[in-house]
Amino acid sequence: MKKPSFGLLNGMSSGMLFALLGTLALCAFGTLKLEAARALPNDFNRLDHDIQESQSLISDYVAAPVLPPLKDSWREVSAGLELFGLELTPDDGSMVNGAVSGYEGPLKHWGGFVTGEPKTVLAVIKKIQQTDPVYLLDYSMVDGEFKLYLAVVGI
Amino acid sequence: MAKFSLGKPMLIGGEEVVVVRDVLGAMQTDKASETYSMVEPKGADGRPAIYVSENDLARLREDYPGMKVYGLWQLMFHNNAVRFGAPVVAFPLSDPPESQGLYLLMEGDIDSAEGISSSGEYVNGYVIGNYDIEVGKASFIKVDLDELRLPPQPAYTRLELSQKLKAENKRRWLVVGSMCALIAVGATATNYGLQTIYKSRMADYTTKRGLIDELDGRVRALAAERLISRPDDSVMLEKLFRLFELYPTAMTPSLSDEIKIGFVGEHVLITPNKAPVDPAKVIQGVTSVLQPDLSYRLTVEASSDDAEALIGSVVQ
Repeated sequence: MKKPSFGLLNGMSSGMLFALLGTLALCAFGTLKLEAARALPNDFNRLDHDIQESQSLISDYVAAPVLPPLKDSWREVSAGLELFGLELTPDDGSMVNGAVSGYEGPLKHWGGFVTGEPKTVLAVIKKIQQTDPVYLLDYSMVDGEFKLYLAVVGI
Repeated sequence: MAKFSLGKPMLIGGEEVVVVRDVLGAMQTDKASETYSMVEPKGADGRPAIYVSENDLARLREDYPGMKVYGLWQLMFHNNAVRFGAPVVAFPLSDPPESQGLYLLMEGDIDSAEGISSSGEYVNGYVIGNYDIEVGKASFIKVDLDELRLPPQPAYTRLELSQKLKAENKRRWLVVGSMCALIAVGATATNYGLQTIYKSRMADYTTKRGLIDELDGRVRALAAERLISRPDDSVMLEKLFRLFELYPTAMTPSLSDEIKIGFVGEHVLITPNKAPVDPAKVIQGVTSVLQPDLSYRLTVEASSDDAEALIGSVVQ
């Protein structure tokens, strides 16, 4: 005969202990399982930063003027080259088929190339780039002839 | 000293209780047929367990229903009233003390509770059946009834004990059950809280995601008609110009080299054979490699400003 005791947990049988621990483990397991399902998307903490970045990008864009129409720029570039005896030839297909790099961007663009004496081409293009939005792409220099591919952009 | 009587209600410690005869140590043979219920297990000091006859208890329950019953020796030990040091310790129930009472017979170590060998009752200074015991030399216990304190646990019959144990067990299960319920409720509440936090965060996420999509749309629309910085390759053009000044017949390598020569890829040029001057020493940002035919293979490095302008324009 055991002396009965009146403590809250005194004389707890192994069954009781098991029930308690079992409940505790079950609850902990369930909570962890549910918590795993509550995972936040990976970019959750990056969103504010992304928003700020987009907003500053937008304000940068808004500050920049709208580009002139593509056909006007193309005409200007063409005329600028002609002044120095150079000709702006529209893309012969090498840009489209990927033989040379093309312009990859959101702006409307026309591709072309100019051939001539290298120093002349470089100097004239440098001047034209000051006034018109022209992306310079690949070039080649074979037998004294410099061939420079470019893309004029506009809206 | 108030009169101490066994088997009658008495006021001890402010409570009306009945004190009953109890036994320690070896049982007397004539009482072996009786069933005994333990009131106090073996003490830490070596005192034997204390038992009470179930018959006595049953009779008292009948006479005084609901009244707590305590064993005499249980009461004495609890109040530290037992003084050892003699072969016999006696508790007198009459005056003079030798005439009637209860005794504890010591054996071996007479100075501690370990030495208790048996208990019993004496009448007229003698123990019936054992006339060797000299009650007159006993250490008599003197207690003041008013100063006695009750032991924590009264005597119970074995049936009562088992019922009590059952009730106690039931109570424990109840406690365990409510603790389990508490844990479950706690877990539910925790999960509810976590779920609420998660939902609000996800709502926040969806809103922000929507805002980002909207902003991205605006960025796309703006990027289709504006340029933050116009393409400017003047530095590179200047370098190439100086290079061609030095070697007007410099060539680009044949296209079979699988590299794109130009402003998007690399600026690579090859000087004529037997070139006298290393352009890398004349023009900044040019690296050269001398080839077997004594021409230089030149790589013009875009300065960091150029690179940024290029990335900025082409990536968009």
